[in-house]
Amino acid sequence: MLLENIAYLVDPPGAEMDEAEFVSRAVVESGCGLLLDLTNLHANAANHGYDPVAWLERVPLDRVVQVHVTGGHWRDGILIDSHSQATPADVWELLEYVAARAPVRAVLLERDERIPPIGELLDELDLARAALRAGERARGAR
Amino acid sequence: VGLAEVEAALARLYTDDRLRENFFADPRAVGAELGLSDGEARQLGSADRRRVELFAESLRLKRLGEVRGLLPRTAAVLGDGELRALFLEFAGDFVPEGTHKHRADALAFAEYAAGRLCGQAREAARFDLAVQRLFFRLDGAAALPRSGPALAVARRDGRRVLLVRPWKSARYRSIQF
Repeated sequence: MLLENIAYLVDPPGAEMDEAEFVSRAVVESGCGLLLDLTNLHANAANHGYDPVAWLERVPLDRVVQVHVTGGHWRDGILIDSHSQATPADVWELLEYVAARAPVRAVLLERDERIPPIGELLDELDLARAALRAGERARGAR
Repeated sequence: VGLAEVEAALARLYTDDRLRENFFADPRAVGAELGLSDGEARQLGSADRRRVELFAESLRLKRLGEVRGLLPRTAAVLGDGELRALFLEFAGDFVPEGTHKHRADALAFAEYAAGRLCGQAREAARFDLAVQRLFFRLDGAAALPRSGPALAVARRDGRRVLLVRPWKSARYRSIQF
């Protein structure tokens, strides 16, 4: 069983903890793995004005089993997690950061809208592999 | 009332257009109907309405993504733009329930589309609906799986076809007659 970090636009009023603390505690106390959606993290960081790397430093990356990546679109200054665009460079950097700190078993490229020609999807997979390899090299060098 | 109830109310506001409209017009009264205290209703009512609307729309589009795969003929005939417009028109007033929400959405939307469309698009929606009904039936806003074999008659490319779902099968066969 894996817990996934979701994209959200509104902080639940009266929340007792922030998202990073909630995800960490839920994963650690339940013993489940983490399905880390880096695009959700990227969108949340953009929409709520926080540093995604600081968020990653607060969650147990050793519990990451699978990573999801995709691209969203901007609307009225808000980044919507629409699975409709190519994965942005910022997200590949986050993947490399995670792979440098924990073994990622699988990366899933999500795309539900505006599905491009297969060649563009394969190019994205190459970028995913490159980010993983770069991260793994950095982890091996530590 | 606790945080769980506030979050449940927020989830309902995200998924029910009419409730959302009523709530932001009068947070205190509608909040009381949702079981919220005055303070909680005020707190929830102060949420950025634009963000709530955008999130609600993004959830509807995720529903559309699932429904598109379950109603392939309708999706092909309508094309992305028309399918999206029709689904968004439908989705605000239908909130699927239960463990087969996407199936409930597909069944209810296919019924809605069949009633709104005409010609080839209507035939496609009715065909997709017949296929979905081989496996699930709509009970209120929930889809309940059918356990036994099922038969249906539909039209495909202007011709009548018999749709047959054998006992416990996840597939169906179509026989033209």
